[in-house]
Amino acid sequence: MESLVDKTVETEPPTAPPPDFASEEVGELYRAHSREIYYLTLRLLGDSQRAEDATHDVFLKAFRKWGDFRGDSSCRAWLYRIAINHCSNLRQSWHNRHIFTAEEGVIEDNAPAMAESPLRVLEIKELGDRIQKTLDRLSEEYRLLLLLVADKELSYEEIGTLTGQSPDAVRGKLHRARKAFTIQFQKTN
Amino acid sequence: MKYEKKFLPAEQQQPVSESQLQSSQSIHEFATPEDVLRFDARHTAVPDRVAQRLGHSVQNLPGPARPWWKRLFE
Repeated sequence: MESLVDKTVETEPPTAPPPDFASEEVGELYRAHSREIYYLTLRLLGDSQRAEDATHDVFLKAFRKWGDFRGDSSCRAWLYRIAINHCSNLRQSWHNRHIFTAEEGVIEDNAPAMAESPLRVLEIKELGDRIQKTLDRLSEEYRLLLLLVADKELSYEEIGTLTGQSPDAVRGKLHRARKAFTIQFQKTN
Repeated sequence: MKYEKKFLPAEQQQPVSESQLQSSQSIHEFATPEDVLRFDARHTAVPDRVAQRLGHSVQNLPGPARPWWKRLFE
């Protein structure tokens, strides 16, 4: 059984079929960055349905604002900026309306890949639940820092720009964020 | 833009043990919280319906304007 599981470990989940976008540029933008944007919104919002809505809205905004993209940052960083602002607005709106959040036990569906074995899916789902609980217990700043640093395409400079601080401050806070994550993760076991 | 190496040497990283990060069924080890998140991200697929919804939404919009810096060179 272990060998079967091992075979699935490095297998990328199947990607969605190419959407029938009116613009090929938008299609390329979506294909290149949708996984990362969806994951960020999923872990920031803690709910798969809201993450779907947010991902849709982020790319729609990106398409509308494509003409304003100045090219002085990477496309990925630009999309992250839109996603962070969008999620921040949503979270603020929910808090103001006292609507439940992930901390109150929202059931998630992380849409595990169909090609995975049942055991594999179960494991990944469990891990995803623990990650979400851990992130929910961190401060917004630590949560965002860890999620951004996990994307290897982003530099410390870009993360600093996205979070409004210097690269040195990012490094310092990241060290504490890692510690906090480890402690909280242990508590979810 | 000069990209700086973001990863600390192994001895400076906050180690996360297998027992901390894995369930009893797990077979993986992760060196840092970022590794856990990367693993999770790799196994989190975007639902197909997002692309379908976006495709419908985009069809109702005019085509995107080209970035100003692209228009400069046309």
